Amino acid sequence: MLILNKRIKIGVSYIVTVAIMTAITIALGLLVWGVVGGWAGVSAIYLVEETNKEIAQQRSLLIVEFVDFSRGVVWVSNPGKVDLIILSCIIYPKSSSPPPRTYQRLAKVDASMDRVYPLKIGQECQLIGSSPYVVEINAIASTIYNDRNPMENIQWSIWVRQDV
Amino acid sequence: MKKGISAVAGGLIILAILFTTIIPLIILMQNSYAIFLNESNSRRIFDTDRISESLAVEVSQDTETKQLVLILSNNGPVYVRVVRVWAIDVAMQRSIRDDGPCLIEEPPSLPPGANSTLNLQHCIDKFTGIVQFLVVTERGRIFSSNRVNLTSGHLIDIVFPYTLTLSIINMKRGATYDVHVEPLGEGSVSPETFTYKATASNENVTVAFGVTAGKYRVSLYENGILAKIKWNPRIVYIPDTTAVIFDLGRKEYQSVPLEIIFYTPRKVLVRQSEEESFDVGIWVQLPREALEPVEINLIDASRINVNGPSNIIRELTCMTSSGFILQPGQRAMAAMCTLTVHGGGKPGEKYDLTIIVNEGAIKGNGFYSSLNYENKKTESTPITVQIIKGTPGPPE
Repeated sequence: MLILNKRIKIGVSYIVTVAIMTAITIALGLLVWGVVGGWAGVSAIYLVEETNKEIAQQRSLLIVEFVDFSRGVVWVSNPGKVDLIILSCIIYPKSSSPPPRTYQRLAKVDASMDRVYPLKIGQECQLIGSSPYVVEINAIASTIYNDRNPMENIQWSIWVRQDV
Repeated sequence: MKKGISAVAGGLIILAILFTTIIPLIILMQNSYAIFLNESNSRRIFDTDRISESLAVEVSQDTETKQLVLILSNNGPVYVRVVRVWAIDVAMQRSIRDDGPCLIEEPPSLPPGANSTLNLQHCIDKFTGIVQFLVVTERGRIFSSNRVNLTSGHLIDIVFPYTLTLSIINMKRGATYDVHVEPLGEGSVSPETFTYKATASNENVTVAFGVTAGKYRVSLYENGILAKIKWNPRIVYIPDTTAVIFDLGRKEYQSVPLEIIFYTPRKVLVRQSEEESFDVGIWVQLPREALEPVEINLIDASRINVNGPSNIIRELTCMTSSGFILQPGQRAMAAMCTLTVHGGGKPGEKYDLTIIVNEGAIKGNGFYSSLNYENKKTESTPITVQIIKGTPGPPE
């Protein structure tokens, strides 16, 4: 009986087993918590950024007040709630398809109707073909403009297309 | 009891993950969505207001100053604030001002249904051509006006299909004449009034009014009072009537000779060897046939003489007065002369003297015509001088 009792007590004790299991559980739990926390943090940052961009886009508005061909000026103003960066301006024949263009920071238009901004044809604005024309302008909210990511600027820009 | 420790720990960690990560993330997502939704609503309201803006823009002219004004009428349901006006040369498709838009110092804000006028004379200066105005609102809407034709910065009157010619004949020099052409119904006329000051007598003037078909009242005023002539005011129908003549009925002014009237004694008694003086009044009269008053401005005393025997006549002195106005038929004293005679004959003898006013002694000018008026012929009057016995000397 004594021999049998000794055989029974051989191996890891119950307490140690519980401790090991608990430790593993806590370690895995912390790992999951960390992973989930990291994912949640990244998602939150992405979510906030996306929301900011969507809101900035909602607040963007640009109008072409007048195109003075004689003096070669496109007059624009910003009735929206956020300052805008003009990325492209092109005047092309109404009947043709939009020509390729470059996107770069051309001018800044403040969000105020107290001022009207000139875009010089031949400098900020390209003129292609013959009349009747249409003017097409790309602009992005200055709060989300990223000069190192042109593609994202185009993605979040607003388009203004108006017959001249 | 100890079997559930790891399960409890796992459960706690799951709860911790839930409350510290998942729920805040959900709250953040909801919050972001709410913010975005709020912004979208705000933009939608803005766009709705923007589309609801309705502004009627009409170019007109101030009736008094003749300056160009823009009449703005808010026909929409929302408040409209004007921020800028563009003055566009339609033919050249360019801004009239070199520096871009015509900025307004105090932009008008128009509640629904309100009207406002903007003086834009400074925007066009002395521009000649077709102009159109673009009105920019604070929400970014652009409203255009009608196109108007300007000459030196002023509106060219509409070309009317008919012309009403009006003549005023025989005007009075110095008088101011006003013609009023009033539409009695739906007709329109330009100009509605015409004013002319006659610079000469019996002057005539003809003026043309641009009119549309309709009924009109044509009135002629002389110095602000309705002229008292036949058919004034006159009702005319366009296009049945094309001309109206107002004949003021005045004849052409013509000079008439001034008449001389003498106020002298027929007979004068003079004592022998003594001297006697008496007055000779010379008056001038403007004949009733004269068509205007005459201002007498020259009386030449040297052309007033006396003829007769030298032993009788001693001296004739005259005092003249001029610068007075004679109405037709009126007379006035031109000269008061004193004739001194000497009783150089025998008692009972009679001598004839003659007072003579030579031609052109009295001159004047017509009040309206400035024509020359004068006594055209020499006039005279006789005076008989009788010598009577001299006064007896004092007793010695």
